[in-house]
Amino acid sequence: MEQVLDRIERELVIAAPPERVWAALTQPEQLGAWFGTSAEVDLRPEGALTFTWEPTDASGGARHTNPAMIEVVDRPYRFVFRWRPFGGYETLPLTEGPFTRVEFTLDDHPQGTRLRVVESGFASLPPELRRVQHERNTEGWERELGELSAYLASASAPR
Amino acid sequence: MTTADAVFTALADPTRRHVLSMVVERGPVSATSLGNSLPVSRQAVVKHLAVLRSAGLVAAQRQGQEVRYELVAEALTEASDWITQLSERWDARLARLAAYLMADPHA
Repeated sequence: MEQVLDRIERELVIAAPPERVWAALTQPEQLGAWFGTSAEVDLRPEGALTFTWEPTDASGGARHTNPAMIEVVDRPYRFVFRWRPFGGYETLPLTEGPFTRVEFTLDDHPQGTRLRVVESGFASLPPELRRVQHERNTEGWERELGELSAYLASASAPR
Repeated sequence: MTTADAVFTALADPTRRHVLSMVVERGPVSATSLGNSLPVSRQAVVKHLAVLRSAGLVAAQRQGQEVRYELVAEALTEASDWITQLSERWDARLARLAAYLMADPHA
């Protein structure tokens, strides 16, 4: 119960070595290939991380950016940042005010890398943020689905 | 305040989430029994249960001398839908990450 409402956990095995997965998680041009449209990364604790989503033909929508603050850089095993995946509080630094924490943990695995993602802190967000986020995420999720299908339809995508 | 707002407000407190998870595991259960297993007073447990009850998360029933509490599952649905939606965003992101790395594993 506590888990269900406060955190999201995912785990997957990726057929690439941890250093390679680490690069995809932390290098701006690679983050732009799968997370957002582009990203800026100051790779150090307390460094700034900014994701940008540009509108695409497939998905429409408006350009938006999402600031994050890096907490842990332990190459290639652990990468942690805090962010606000919702609207509001734009002027308040991430050292203050509400946020959720995203933790990537990478482990060696016979097939490559076991990647674990935990996003936590949802239960302690102010309730009014949740509604805003609900609406924005509906929009964002549709946009991401559009990007995903466009990506899978492209010639370079593996089957 | 919508149902989801009331539910999340009630669940913003970690002790209250703990109380609710114990009601889920043991319900119907009395405040005294919960108080015995938690590092807070029975009085505090009663207050937490009152907040959970006003958010519609638990229902109270008198059984003899005791009031017993149990989960009302419907109140959680709207709140957990929101988390489900966020989880789906991670599923989509991680599918793109895996596809990206498989397309070019040595880049």
